[in-house]
Amino acid sequence: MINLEKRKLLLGAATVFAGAALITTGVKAVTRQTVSTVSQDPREQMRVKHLPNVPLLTHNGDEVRFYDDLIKDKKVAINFMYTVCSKICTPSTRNIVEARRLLGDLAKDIHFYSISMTPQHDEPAILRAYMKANEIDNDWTFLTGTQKNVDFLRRALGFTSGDPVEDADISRHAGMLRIIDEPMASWGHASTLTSGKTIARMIRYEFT
Amino acid sequence: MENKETSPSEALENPERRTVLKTGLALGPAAAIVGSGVAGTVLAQTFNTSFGPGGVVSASPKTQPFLEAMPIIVELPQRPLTDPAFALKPTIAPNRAINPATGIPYEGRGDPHQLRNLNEPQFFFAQHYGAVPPASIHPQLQPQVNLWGSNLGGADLSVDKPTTPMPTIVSRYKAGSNTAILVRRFNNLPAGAPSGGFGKNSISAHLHNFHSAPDSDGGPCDPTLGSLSEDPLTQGRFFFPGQYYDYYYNMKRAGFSNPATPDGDVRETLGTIWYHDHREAHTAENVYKGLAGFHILFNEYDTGNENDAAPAFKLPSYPAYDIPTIFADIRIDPATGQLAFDLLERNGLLGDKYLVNGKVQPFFNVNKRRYRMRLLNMGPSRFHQIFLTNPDNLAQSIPFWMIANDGNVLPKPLSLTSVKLSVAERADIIIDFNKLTAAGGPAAGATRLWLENRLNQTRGEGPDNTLAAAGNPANVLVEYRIGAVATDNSADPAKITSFAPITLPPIETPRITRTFRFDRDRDNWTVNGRPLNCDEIRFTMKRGTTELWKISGGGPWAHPIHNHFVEGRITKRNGAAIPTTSPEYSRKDVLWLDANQTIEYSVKVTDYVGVYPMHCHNVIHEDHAMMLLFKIDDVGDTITTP
Repeated sequence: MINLEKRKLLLGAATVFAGAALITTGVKAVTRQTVSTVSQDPREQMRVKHLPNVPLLTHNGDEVRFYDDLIKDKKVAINFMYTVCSKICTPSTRNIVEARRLLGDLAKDIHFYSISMTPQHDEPAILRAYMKANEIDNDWTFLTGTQKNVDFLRRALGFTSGDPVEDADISRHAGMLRIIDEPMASWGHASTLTSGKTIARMIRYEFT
Repeated sequence: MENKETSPSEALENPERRTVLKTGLALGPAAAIVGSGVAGTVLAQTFNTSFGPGGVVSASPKTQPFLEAMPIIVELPQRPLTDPAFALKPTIAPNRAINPATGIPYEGRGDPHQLRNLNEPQFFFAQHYGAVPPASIHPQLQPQVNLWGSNLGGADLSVDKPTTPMPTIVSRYKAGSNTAILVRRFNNLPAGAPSGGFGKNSISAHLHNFHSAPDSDGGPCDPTLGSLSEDPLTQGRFFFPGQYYDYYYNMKRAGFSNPATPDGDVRETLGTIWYHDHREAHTAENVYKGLAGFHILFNEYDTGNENDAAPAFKLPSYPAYDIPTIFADIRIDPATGQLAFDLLERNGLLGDKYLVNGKVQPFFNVNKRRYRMRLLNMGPSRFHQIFLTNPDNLAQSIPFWMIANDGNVLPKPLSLTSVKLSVAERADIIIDFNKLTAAGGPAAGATRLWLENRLNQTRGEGPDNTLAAAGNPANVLVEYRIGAVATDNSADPAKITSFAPITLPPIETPRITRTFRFDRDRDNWTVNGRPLNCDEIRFTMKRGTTELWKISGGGPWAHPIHNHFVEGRITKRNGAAIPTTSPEYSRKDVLWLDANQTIEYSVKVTDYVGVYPMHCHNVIHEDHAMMLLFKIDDVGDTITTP
């Protein structure tokens, strides 16, 4: 009887720390737990967790690997967009254009990447047309790829919503610019819905 | 290239990659251990299985509770002005001269100390922020290498080593005297990639929630510092390795700038406050890494000495029986054995292990007498409802006295059996271990009591609002082990009928009513539909006037709402007045806003002008722009939905 009650209590209580079996009881000798020989190098940890080396295609039609060719040893700013999106992408693109102008020479050291969320539609020629329409120079790279690779990358970089309904609706995707300094293992972000001035400021704040 | 201009799907389809992707996506939902942190799980399990099952969102290694004593946090010592820390004099204007050794200004501060001429600082403190040397937080876990903290102000960090929680700063209000202090904070955080891949080594030290001018408030950004504010090296709020920043606190209550009340209004007295990093977009990482500490203020009544005669309140003496207790829920990566942070999480970061004063689930030896426990929820995201539990008799309902809320004494001690604390909220409670455990007492016969959080929370966005049953060791912050009876000259809270003269100021007629909705839009956290913009001041308060703020939240999210600079009063929750028996019948600086609730909150601004933030204190939401800037001047504006 007592045991049953105790078990019920424990079951009820377990949800405070969801799913985590935390406590070992009756441990006699206290020793430090050993860990696997995973690298403590923060850069390596970030690569392993968040920077997959998926293949992508640039607006020029060049095949590239995400980590090796676009991220490694670089300062980058990344957002997700799609060419037929006008509600959020157009102001976002316009704000990033303005931010790049305000950054001046500093922008030359930063690689800007915009990754299409509708890669099947946004083939390189369509991306180039989008760039031309928005007066975007060739030094800002637009990227496409397979839907799966793009989705995978979107999750790896944290452009996902906790709400599955929202996550499935690309018109409600995150208006975010990821600002990464790969050698520094530094990850920041800016809202692309603010203004070019604010985005430029956030980029400066991240890369100082 | 061969594949130029073929469709992307043709060009890039790769059977090997496809298999990997399938596996990863299939694992996603099942592996969603906490909140919505699915992404990290998928990744770790797909393209590097050696990393362990689920990256930072996997469960921490198991640990046995109550193996080590809870440390008493060290106090920051005063230093004379002749100390080498002050070789460069602490001037009203910031020291913007270029340090030839670093090529950047000596001081990070952007503006002069406001109204400092009224009370020049008398007491000086210094602290060097730096990496904490490998520290044991639990005897079964690896020494921790990802922590940051600060030292006691010595120049040699190999001797005077940084610790976390950071040292407690103790200062005093004293009417008729000048007790102003100055804290010089040096940034000695390591250059290069931060340990563990999280943390930003430029910092801003917010004193939450002292009545400070913007120059010493430690906010995230301030557009009024001019075009300079766009240059990180001159923006004037956060400061870099090699720089220092002088924070000036006048130790006067609000209202001091009125010549008739140079000591301020005694009803504006603050007690338990804290300082923590406020680096724009990186606060969560930096606080989680350890950049937080207590700042406690004594006064003519709350003297810190139970032997003082009336009008002293005779509260349990500091530091023997007055115990600052800061807790965080953390996660240890089982693969590395180290403190882990999920940079992708945007709803809220939930830990599965309590770190209390720098130790995982410690015990604390107490005597049979009264103790004042200053409880502070450091976050990052979890909402708490904390009980006392007798693990050897779960049927007992065990009361304690709450005497202060967010550092503001209540009208009188309140007997409670639980206290709710969202992130950054503080509760000063008195536990009478003698009376509780005496024969016939509520915890008769108890030899130990647990401080236990029983509020269920499974998602970062907010609590489930159901209670777990009492007595689960996993939910315990600290085990109080009750020893012998000890002398107790502190006042019995049952006999304290009032904390006068520190009473509640009356609620004045507002000059304006403004509404604020804390919500989400397209996966951005917003206030009134907009994310933080460091270039934009959303509304202006008129100095010397009161405003009523109607604060609501979109469902199903809960938020701890915090405004800098002033304590306010909750006047209504969902239209109902706050009963005098509620802990919220008090001044407050953090508001627990439940899903779909509306809080009416009265605030009055005095003394200083300038820019301050208001934000969600779930630091994940805060870093993702659930914040706005407001200004105080002598005109004010009439924007009702800023």
